[in-house]
Amino acid sequence: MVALLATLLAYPVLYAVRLAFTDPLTGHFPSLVNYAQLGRDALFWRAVRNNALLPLASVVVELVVGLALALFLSRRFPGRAALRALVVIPFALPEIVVLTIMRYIFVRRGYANAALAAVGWPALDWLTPGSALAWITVVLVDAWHVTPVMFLILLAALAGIPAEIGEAAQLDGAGPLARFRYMTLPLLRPALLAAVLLRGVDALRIFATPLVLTGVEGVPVLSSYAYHQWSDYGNDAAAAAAALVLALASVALSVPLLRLREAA
Amino acid sequence: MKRALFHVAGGSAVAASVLLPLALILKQAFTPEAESFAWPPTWLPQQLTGANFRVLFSSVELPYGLQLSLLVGGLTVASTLLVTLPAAWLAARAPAADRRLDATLVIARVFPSIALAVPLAALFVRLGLYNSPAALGLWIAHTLLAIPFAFFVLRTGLRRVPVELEEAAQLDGATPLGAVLRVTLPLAWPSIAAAALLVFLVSWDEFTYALVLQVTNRPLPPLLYYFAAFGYPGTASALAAIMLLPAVVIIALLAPAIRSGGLTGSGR
Amino acid sequence: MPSAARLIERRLVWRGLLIALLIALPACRQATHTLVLAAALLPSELPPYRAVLSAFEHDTGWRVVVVPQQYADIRRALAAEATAGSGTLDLVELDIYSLAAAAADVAVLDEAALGDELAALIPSAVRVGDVDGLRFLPHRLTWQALIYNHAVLGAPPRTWDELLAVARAHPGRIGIKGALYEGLTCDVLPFVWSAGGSALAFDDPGTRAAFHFLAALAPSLNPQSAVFREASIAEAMARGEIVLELNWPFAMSLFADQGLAPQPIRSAPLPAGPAGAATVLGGGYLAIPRGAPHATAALGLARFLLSAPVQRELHQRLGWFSARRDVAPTGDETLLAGFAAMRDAVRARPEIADYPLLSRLWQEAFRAVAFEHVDPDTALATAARRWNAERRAAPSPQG
Repeated sequence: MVALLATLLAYPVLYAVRLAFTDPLTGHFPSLVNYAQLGRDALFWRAVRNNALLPLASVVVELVVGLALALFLSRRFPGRAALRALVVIPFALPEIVVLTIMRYIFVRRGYANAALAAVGWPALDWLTPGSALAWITVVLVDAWHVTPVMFLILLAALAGIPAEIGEAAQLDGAGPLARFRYMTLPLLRPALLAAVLLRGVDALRIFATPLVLTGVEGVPVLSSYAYHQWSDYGNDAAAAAAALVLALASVALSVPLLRLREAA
Repeated sequence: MKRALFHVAGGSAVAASVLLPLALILKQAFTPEAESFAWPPTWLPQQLTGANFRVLFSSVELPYGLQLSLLVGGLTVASTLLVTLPAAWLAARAPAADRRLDATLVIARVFPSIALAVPLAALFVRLGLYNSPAALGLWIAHTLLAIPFAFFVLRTGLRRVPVELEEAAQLDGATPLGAVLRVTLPLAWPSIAAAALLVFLVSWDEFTYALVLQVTNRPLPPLLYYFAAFGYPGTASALAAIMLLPAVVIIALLAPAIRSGGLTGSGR
Repeated sequence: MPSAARLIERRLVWRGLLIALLIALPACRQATHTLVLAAALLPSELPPYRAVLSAFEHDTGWRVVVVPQQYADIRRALAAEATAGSGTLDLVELDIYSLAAAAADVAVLDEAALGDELAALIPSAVRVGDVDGLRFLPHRLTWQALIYNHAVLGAPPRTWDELLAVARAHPGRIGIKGALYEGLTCDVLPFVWSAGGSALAFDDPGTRAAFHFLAALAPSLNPQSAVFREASIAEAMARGEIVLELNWPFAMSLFADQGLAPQPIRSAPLPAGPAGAATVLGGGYLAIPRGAPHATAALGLARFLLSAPVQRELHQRLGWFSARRDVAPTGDETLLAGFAAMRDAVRARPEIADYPLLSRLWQEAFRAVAFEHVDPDTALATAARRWNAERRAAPSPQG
């Protein structure tokens, strides 16, 4: 199966490499003409920058919210089981369904601004191209969709911490914050690290969220930039060249993830 | 008392943030287009209608898209399980093979779709699989995408079947393959079913490959993108409502497996 | 996991899969008497278009499946089917600007079978479809007009001065399709032409005047203009976020559909600049793919679509203009008045091999001025330099 998968993966990748390093007009290979074109394109550099920063912000938000949810839903109270199932739903929803509704929520005359108006606050331009707020909106929407993954990993890790440890600390007079800081957090460390690495590499693939919410030019990332080159300009070579940059980053960043898995 | 209040408040906040967007989809799906454009927007439906669903189903392309999504999902489940089961069994039994498989599949799992979609499009054009009416090219792409998801679930399930049972069956005269088929697979059935559902969901939800590879014979996700991008909130919401139905059913079926941790680490 | 076993009954899953496959199976097979037509239709255009086709379906017994998609994707599907040698598309509609590039993928049409319909067309429109033989038939001709919110503006701006006054009175509510794509070129060239500039020169006085005007307009643009495309700008118009835009006739049928036209949204001619008004010609041409499964029936469908009653119907219901001499535009309708009035101001984009580069440079120059506050003369000088440096001098094989 490794052989089959490798062939099915390797052929397109090699094809992409050839495409990226071939001059589309002369057919000359190898050629750096596509990368020279990317280098001149300001949109490409914005995509590179966003593709480095968005996953970072996204993972931080997911981590904080996921951990808060996991801690909250490890407590015992009626309705906990239903809430646990509910929290996972966003992840199961088709990405395009999530984005469709999120766009209706965040457009200028959408539900978010209506809610702000209801409490007497001014409307916000959630999706204005190139704005910091649009960037934040993309992060929040992405986090809404994928935080359940982080939540599930951390919930499982929390369940693995024996209750006696917490009880013993409580008897020793440790407050809830101290217990979290000195007991829970160190015990969660391996799970946190694994979750952050997995989601971090995964987040590099971000594509549909910025594309659907803000358009290609609003918050460009490498995937949407490649799609734009392919779809709007029919430039397969530039698309492959940009996508290869992203692929290389993904593979390079998965090395620490693999190390961690081997150690486990 | 204070604690109970905290639980109620926290629980409602969590439930609201998940359910509100879903409620808005359903509201827009069942109200006239004009109501979706109203300012200030309505939070509760003012006028109920089935018109959006009628528009969808009268377009001919929707029933076809629905069939296509189901077909690709079903085919992807079959091909993914066929390819992944032997590999997952090998990984569960042989640590050396496991390490190699694990590394390959982690990379396959995080590899950006667009980096494969563009060259695959060119490749499929030459093979006659691009935009195929039975979505054959998309099927191959979805299988590639789903293999890692299935692998991690199946490996966990197969590891829980003691190797001694297979050995005992062989002592009773079963061939090695027969032992796996008659002893291991039935015992690992829950994880196989979970993997099948998960793979179907991966294919049903998938947007990037579908957008690039199926341009006129479209399954549901690119069709929804088309309706949403071209200014039809009611129709788009109706289609979105149809699409989220299987997702919610499958997550309900998978809930026990999710709670036991069998699916974590499989990710997006 | 064990609890999952109880929930997921083995037989149930198999049965579910089987049912799913049974439902899905028909997707593999095309029904025998079905024609597939891919056209650049919007969801709003689909119901009226389908209604027009029902007469054809009734008379011939063929069922027509209309696949609405963007031109670029139709071309991609067409090229893929040409390479594969087989496919599902019987008839396709292509952008007037992609005809030369798509010629090899479509069949030469049997002119005798088209009969009188061919004779009724404007000869120049037919000539455009002749690429080494007649391959493309004019399905519709379109161009842009001004679309404005009548309830907010009262009268539409008639000149650049009036446009600027409207823009200053409604800051943030003027829309331009400013995404990086061909649609932006179609918004920019009318301004260039209206100032007497040339689509082929970035540094002539008319072009400079146009860009200085656009720079004056820029502060009033809706910030979403940087990503607006045909559909998203129409949606912003429907939501009342903008009060004025340039768009194709589809937008008016969309607004009418939504109960927003002719009140409050109406169409008007584009405001006239120093050299008058101008708008870009667009259009869709029909062709039969080389590997079309039902080529003969497809030709019949094409003939039906070009017939006078159908073209008249499409003009009335969708605002498409016909290439038939006997289908006169009805200019008195409120809905499409602006489009009818622009009929004599329609101009074609340059037909040159380097057009994609040229178009992209117009887009980038506009974006630099409108969204990055670059001085118009600097932006145009940059475009002119790149045009001279990067264009491939060799003349195009297609001319």
